[in-house]
Amino acid sequence: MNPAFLLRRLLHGLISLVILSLIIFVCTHLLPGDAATAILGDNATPAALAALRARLGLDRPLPLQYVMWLVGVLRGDFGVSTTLNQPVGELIGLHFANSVTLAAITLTSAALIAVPLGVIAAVRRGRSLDATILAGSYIGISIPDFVIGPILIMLFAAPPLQLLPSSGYVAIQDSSLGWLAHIVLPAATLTMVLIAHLMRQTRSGMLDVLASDYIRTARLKGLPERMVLWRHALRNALTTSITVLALDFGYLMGSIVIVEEIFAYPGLGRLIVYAVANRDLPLVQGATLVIGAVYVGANLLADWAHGLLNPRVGRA
Amino acid sequence: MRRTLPRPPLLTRRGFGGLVTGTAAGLLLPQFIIRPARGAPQAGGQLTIALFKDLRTLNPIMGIFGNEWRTCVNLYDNLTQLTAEGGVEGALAESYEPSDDGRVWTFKLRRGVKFHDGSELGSADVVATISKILDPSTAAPYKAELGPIAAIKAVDSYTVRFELSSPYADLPKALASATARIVSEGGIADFGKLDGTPHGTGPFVLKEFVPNERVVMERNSAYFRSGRPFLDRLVMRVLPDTSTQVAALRNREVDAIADVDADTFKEISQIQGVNALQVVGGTFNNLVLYANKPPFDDPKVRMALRLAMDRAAMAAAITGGTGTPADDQPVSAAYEYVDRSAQIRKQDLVQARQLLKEAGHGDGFEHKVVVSNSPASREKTAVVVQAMAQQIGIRFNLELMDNARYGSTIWNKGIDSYIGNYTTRPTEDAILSKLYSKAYGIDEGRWASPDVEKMLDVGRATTDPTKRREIYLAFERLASDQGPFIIPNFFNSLGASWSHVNDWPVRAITTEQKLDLTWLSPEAPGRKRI
Repeated sequence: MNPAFLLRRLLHGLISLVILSLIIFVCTHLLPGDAATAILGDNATPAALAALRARLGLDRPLPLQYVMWLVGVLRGDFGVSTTLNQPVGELIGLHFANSVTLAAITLTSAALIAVPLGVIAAVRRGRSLDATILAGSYIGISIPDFVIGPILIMLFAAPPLQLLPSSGYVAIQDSSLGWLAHIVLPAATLTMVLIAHLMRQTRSGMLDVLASDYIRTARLKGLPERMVLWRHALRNALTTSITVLALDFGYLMGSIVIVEEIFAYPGLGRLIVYAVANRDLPLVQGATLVIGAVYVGANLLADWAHGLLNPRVGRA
Repeated sequence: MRRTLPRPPLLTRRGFGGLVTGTAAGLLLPQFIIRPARGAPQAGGQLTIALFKDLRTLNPIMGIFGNEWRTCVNLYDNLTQLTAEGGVEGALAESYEPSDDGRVWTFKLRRGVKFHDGSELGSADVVATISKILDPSTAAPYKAELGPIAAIKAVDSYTVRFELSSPYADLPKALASATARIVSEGGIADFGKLDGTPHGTGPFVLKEFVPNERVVMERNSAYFRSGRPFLDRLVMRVLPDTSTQVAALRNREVDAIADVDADTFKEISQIQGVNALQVVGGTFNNLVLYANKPPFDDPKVRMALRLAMDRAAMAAAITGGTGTPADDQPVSAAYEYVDRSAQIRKQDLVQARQLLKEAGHGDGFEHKVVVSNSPASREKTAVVVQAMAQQIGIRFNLELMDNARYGSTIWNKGIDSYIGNYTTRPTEDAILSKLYSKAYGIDEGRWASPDVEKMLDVGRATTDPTKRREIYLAFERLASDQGPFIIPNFFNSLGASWSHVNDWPVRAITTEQKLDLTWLSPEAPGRKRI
């Protein structure tokens, strides 16, 4: 892998993040209302608003607010949440760790189930097994997570089975068994959403590869079919799956609010929704920056993995 | 229709359920319910409660959400506290009395009360807390509802004196409100940390607080009411999805739900072994009709709209049978000074149309109403009011809006009509002054006049209960006939707990749930959790 290539991608990523933070900053200010109106609710008299804005530093000029924030971030200080009065770094750290755990478990289980299924479907193209897997994936794609979640709760958390807790979160250091029990249902819900997606991508990637010249050559060479499939075809087909997984990782970090709400799981998504609804700018800024960094990082990782699978990538 | 209020009986769900369905909208509801205790209280165990939505801070002075008050009431105490019947009694204050003119109130503090931080309660703590609330730079949201306090002074180590800018009979009740919890002097000095580090005297001490997730408290063995609380541990979990709340209750993962909405209430009351409880509340949604802007500047138009409302039907539709009809004024039967025998205005479409015609709106008119998406009751209220108004040709165009945007661009801005949302207050004056006075509140309907201000001033200053009753009843009549709001109903306070939870308090002010008397039966799952 060419280090200059990676370095260039890294630089692009950093620039994207700064632009992202600027856009978020401007957009949040375009929204009507600020943290002071959110904190005071139906007691927001003009005098109280002015006093609170002064206390929270919201009365400073906007460019100054942004620059102060940026300088803070460069020093590793994400500021203090205006509505929770806690360091943004700590708040995000806690929720970030929860989201990463959930995302990692979800992606691993999705990949372990979806990739083999996709390969089988591609190999058995047009046969009844392929049709069954495809139909299953259609069902998976068309049932939204806010339906799957409650169904899983009814099946596994309610009497008579009552195998798992319906919601909540236990820190792994408090009880590893409790932690595992609480994460199963949200992870299963998300896995079911992702499997369909990932399986279809793997299948079509595999089909493309199977139709290519070098696979025909490999077969003509007389290589055993198993070797053709797992050694030559899958390796190339996986590049698509990896890109999909990288994007899904970003999705899992910030866009799974509904699943987090249903299972009362303290992830980044819920934190961001709270922050926007309460106009908690430092929290919005910090959290979006982290999610942006995750997207950039996941894509870098995917590029690197591509390079491993396909040496031609990254030489350019 | 008659609104009557029996003195609080103790009711079980079964007896109570029959009552509700049997009398439809003519509810005979008790003012509070405390589940009848089965035998003597038994100490121990963990009580787990589901909360709904935001829980940002444990700073009692800056809290505005129900969950924040609900948590703080168990970590802190006030000088006074409301009794279940709506009266007031001393808490951290042993006794209190006004001067003859009602302008100076002297409070004597209980001795030997310890804060969780180890310091002992004295007048310096009370002075520090109240001064912090009064300080304009604090921007305490509910400062205005404490009343006309000009200054607070320490007379000696255990006596404080409130000096008022005008006589205020409700001061003891106002000091029982969520904003006036007493914080230690050290806690006030470290105000920025108060969000996560309580400095109270309450029955429970904080163990863990994760904003918007959970609060864990443990028994304060040094609580000044000896023997209390009975519970060893109190866990409050934020479950933002109502179906998750119901699932958690059904599975006994939580023992009680603190704040139940009407739809969920119906579902919960069908779970065997769960007590679904409701008492008369004072929470309402009001359609704001600006009295200084056409077309509702004409009292005839406002009256026409009132007469178009079928209040019993509206209360049933909006609250699903968990509310009482209202008459366009904000004081419900949950308060002390209210005319319980008053007839609710009857629908009269003929007279309504006639009034509209006299006002020059024979063909009706269109009018925009902005509706915030939270809480959901605003939207229900808007749709039902719209349907009623349509009958006389007033066509409301409803515009749905995100709550944060509504709060900063529509609420109390004097431009567009909207649906307001207010919870039960400790006193009549708190809600009346807030909505109708320009001097002490927001004059939400731009209807305040010297007469209105004077009536409210006199009510605030009068100490004689009979005279106060006369004044408030007259004001409520006036607001109901001429005021700038449509208030179709009050919402009952709803709560739910498993039958193994004893003395689970459901109050008109739902957030005043001090759990120092609550205890668990031997079969409660929370006895095994510790």
